Amino acid sequence: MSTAITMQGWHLIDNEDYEPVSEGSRTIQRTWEKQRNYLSNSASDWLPTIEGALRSITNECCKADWDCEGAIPVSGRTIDLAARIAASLFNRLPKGTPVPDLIPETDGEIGISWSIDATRMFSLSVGEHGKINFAGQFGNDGGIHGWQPIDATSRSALEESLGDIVQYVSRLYAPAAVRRTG
Amino acid sequence: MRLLPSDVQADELLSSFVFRPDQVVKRTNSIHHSRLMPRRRDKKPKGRLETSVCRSQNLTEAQIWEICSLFFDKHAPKPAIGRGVGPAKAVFAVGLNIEADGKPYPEHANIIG
Repeated sequence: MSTAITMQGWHLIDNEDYEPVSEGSRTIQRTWEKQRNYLSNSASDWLPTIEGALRSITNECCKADWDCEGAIPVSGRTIDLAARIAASLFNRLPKGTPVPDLIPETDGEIGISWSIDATRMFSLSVGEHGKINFAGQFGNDGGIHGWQPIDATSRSALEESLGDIVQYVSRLYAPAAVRRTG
Repeated sequence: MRLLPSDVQADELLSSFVFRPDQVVKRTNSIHHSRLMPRRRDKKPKGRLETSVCRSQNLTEAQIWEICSLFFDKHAPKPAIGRGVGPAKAVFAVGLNIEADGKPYPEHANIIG
């Protein structure tokens, strides 16, 4: 079990020599480049990215020690649950909510996360244990972290048990009120 | 020989190498927090939660990527595509600790859970 945490102040420095090698990596790279700066609006916008990410995780993270640092394998059950949760969240989130990043975690879970900037992000972790660990930062409005059980026995039960998560993600992308000028 | 204080300082910059594109959050140009989460080790001290970082504060880019080639790329499934860089205080701020062990290279340290 992992608790989603956020660490502010870490940024990326590219390795200029890197080129994606596997087809999965290339697909994710292309999709990210396309989606980097726009909000998607329809079901067809989420699905290719989610499917591509889960395919990559299936191919590259299903064996023990997949990171050569002792990572626990991501099981088919966890991948299936992550796909169902992503689909349920898409159904319940307001249209225009961007596609989340899906990340394999070294404890065998899959992270689903949305990031706007260094102070506004929400992340949840899905594993085989039937609960979700989550953490979010909402800029000057503070943050939240915790865990909750999920009911994956049916699509409707799953969607219902994700109600709080939907509210947190929606809060991240809540439209800001802008005073009319002129 | 490169000299470093034995204790990691709060303002010291650390690097974490990443080899998977999904460990990078493009929107914020940062690495995903899960890359820095300590994982349970099966070597001595067995069961401790830790993850490797490089104390990159006083290193040149060339030195950092040389360390990456020698000590990360050889063990990772793929060569590193980049590194996350951040201050040690970001680690301390979430209640984790850092232990500088200097092995297998002088700037090696572990984030301890």
